[in-house]
Amino acid sequence: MDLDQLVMRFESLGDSCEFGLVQRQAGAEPLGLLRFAGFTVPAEQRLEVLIAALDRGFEGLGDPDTIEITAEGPPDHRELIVRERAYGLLYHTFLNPTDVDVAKLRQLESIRLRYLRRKLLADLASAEKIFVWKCNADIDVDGARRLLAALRRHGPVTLLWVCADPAFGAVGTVEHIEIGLLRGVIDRFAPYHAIADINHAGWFAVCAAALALAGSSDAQPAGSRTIIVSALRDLVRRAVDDPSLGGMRGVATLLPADTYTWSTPELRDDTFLDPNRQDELYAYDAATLQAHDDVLKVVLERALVASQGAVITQDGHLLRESCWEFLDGGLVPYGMERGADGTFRIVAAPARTVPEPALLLKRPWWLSYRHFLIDAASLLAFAATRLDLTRFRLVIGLTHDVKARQAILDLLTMLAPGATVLEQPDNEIWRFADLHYITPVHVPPLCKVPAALAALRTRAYEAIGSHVADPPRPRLLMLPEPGEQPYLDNHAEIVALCAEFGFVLIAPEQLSMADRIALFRDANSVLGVRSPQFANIAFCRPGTPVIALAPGDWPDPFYAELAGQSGLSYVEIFGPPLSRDAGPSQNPFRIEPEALRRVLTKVFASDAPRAAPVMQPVVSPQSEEIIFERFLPVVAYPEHRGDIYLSVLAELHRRLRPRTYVEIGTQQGQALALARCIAVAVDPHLPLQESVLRGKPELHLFRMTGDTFFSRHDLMRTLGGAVSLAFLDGPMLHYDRILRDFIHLERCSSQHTMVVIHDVVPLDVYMACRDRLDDFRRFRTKRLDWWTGDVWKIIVVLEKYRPDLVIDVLDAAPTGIALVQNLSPDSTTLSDQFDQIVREVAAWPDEAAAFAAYRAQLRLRPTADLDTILAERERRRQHAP
Amino acid sequence: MHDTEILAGMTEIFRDVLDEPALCLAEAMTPADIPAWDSLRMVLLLAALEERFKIRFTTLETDRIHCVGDILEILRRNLLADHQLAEKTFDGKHNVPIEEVRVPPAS
Repeated sequence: MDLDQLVMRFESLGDSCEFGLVQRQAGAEPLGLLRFAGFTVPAEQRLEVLIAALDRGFEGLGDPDTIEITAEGPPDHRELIVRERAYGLLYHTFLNPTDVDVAKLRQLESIRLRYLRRKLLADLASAEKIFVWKCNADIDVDGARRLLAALRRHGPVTLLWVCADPAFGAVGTVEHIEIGLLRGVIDRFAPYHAIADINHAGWFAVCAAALALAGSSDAQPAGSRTIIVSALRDLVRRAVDDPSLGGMRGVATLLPADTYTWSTPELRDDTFLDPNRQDELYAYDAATLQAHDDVLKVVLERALVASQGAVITQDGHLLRESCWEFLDGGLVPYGMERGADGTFRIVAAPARTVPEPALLLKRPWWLSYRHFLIDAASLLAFAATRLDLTRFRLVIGLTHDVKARQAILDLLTMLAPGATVLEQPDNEIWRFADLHYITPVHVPPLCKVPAALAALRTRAYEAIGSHVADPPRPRLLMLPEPGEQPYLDNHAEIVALCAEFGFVLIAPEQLSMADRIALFRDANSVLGVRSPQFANIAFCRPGTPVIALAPGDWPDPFYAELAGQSGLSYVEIFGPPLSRDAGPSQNPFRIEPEALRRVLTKVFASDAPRAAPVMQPVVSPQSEEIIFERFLPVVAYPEHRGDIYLSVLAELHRRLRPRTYVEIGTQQGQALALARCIAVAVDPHLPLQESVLRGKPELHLFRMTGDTFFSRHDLMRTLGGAVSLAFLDGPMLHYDRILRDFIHLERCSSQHTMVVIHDVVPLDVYMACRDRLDDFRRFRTKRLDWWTGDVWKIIVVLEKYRPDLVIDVLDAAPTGIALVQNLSPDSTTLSDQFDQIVREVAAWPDEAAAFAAYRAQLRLRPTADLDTILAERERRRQHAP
Repeated sequence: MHDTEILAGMTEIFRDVLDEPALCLAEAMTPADIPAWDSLRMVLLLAALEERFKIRFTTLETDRIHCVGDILEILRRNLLADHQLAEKTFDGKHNVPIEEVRVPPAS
């Protein structure tokens, strides 16, 4: 790649003109708000000013009242300088005061700043460029993370943080710190007073390495990147170790994996079913117990969508789930080429970028009505029970078939009112800044997700309300027109026969969706050829008799399972194909009238119409996107090297020789077993496995929560005095629960009481996930079997609200402990402000940032310091009044 | 809109923004040929062109502008695309933008 093209892939975030000049040196002159404009505050403050400006979206930038233009410089070289007052930006105009009218210039600068602000926000949203931050003052990784967070409030941006620090590697080294954050190394920056003194070669090396590492699928020209087929579930699993994999910003489970049963056809006339394919069909029949995988939703940054919904991640994984029907059929999605080794290449450039969050509904064969209905519409109906669909651009395919398009839009109107739809031509590749992809709810030939079909029915019924088709038809007959497949050759004969049984020929594709749904909902029975429109039986009420006609060379169980899991009374008749020229489902066939008469006579033995049972909605709507969580930046801290917490507790028992011991959250009793004094243990479960009685003159066990215990019992009376040593270890690892326990304990404390709190130093924010069952956040942690809850927040709270406490946080394995001393039984600070504390913590805008700040500020002491800590305790004790 | 019309509109804007009333644009002209066409003025040119032709330049497009012909090509493509959008409607009324369809809210 030429240098000018290389540096054009980056956008400066300012500090100085250095990177802007690097781009100029390479022959590139991109437009950028901060390329040559800098903040006037001292270098150490520029990061914070930039973050604050990003948080405000540079709102108000360009207001003429905030633009000040002054002539500066030596008398023989005066120049107009622009000082922007709202954000403290300064830049040169290179104009002589005598050459220009300052009032007009202010007006032009206003236009310029507004334009560049809009461009910056668009660039952040589309995230096509890598944003560059350097600063001659020292910036640590937390600063870079905060900048990344500020940038990512606007779009899925990648930040290249460049350091002039050889400790991070050789010049040109670029390291992936976490998703969206790269750290590049250069030997030196240009001094602010000699800005042209630039190590251009170093910068070019950093840019090249960063672009390669960023993994952007558009970082290389079309055709040069190898695309490999990967299963999404495999990527999700591997993302635990490599968070950058797939450019996945979030994963949620919308529906857990489950099993279901479908009832096989009540009657099947297989006289003309191809003998070579009978085993195939009856094998499906034997598999009435089916399982579907969990339905996942992932958010992919800068993914491409090609052809009929084939998804390519930014790092070159073609998601198998999105196109396996193509791949297994030996087809290649549009815009791609298959290599001899099974990999693919992209050979067409993306036609457009969609910066807004988009939900992909396109699936293979979407142009077939049955596939759109069962694959896309039912997925959308199901998604509507979980997500606010107005937040997304809904991506469907573009068709020029007026009726097909109208049916699709009608369905979307019913299922996602108020949404915005993008119609992507199948012969274009599009890039999405923020692609929301849901795994298929139909994996042919079986495995339609019952909850999705139920959602489709429920929402369709809700949408049409009491609408009745005009005219209503109790018995529906659907036969393809000549030219449609599979064509029934003795069409007229069958129409006449069916008329004897009260069937009326309908053409659903000619009807509005409301009429279509109402007809099938209210149908007494349905008979027809298994054409795409036959999929409308998805709208039938359970119990409705459905009779399907099919050529004997097409044993596809699609409709049988659709009917079988929807509670329909399904009958199937195969007729002889009249040729074998085309593939299955495409050859004309006939149905033997007598065979059909026998079936109809049997099904309608009684003239009384079958009562259609009232359908119960299977899927209850849930609140908006309750499961999905944005991936928080993955920052894994090293595992603690201190003694295991039980050893520290044992040492405390040995050294302090407490008179009384209280434990809340006892679990199997390992910690309780260490006590050799009067002890109280509180736990709602108490699954004791240890010899907890050993060495204790009294042991009081309470199978209840801490709240219940303190509301019912007088702890000091139980103990016969104040608490000497206490250990708080859940069982609910929620900081507010632990805080309440602490408040209760402090009332029963003395100045010598020590409270030990477990799990206060998790190794990453996923381990500290508040909801233990939130697997799709928790699985991101390095240690899946460790869960600390959000107990760490209690340290933040105590340090803020109770600076009088003495808190030592130790690196006890596995997840840290805190020793809290200097308690005041008369203090009401925490209880008085408890509600405020909870509100305040709930309002933290960014849990990951709060956790990072906590870890950054935490003075973590080694467990080897226990001697020192106890010596300090002793000194305090001696000096106590 | 024909190229000559687009170029005429561009010329008016270049003359006004660059304060070069006698400027005559040719497709091959680059900033090297028009001294007033610097990066500062470039922004003003783009803003004025957007307003005149009712389009929005993307970053991808502005990054690829090296000469007058590049701008002409972008304008041509955008204006043509607008025209095609009007043609490619499905209800025959030329009022449904194909690119983005707003689904009616629930009644």
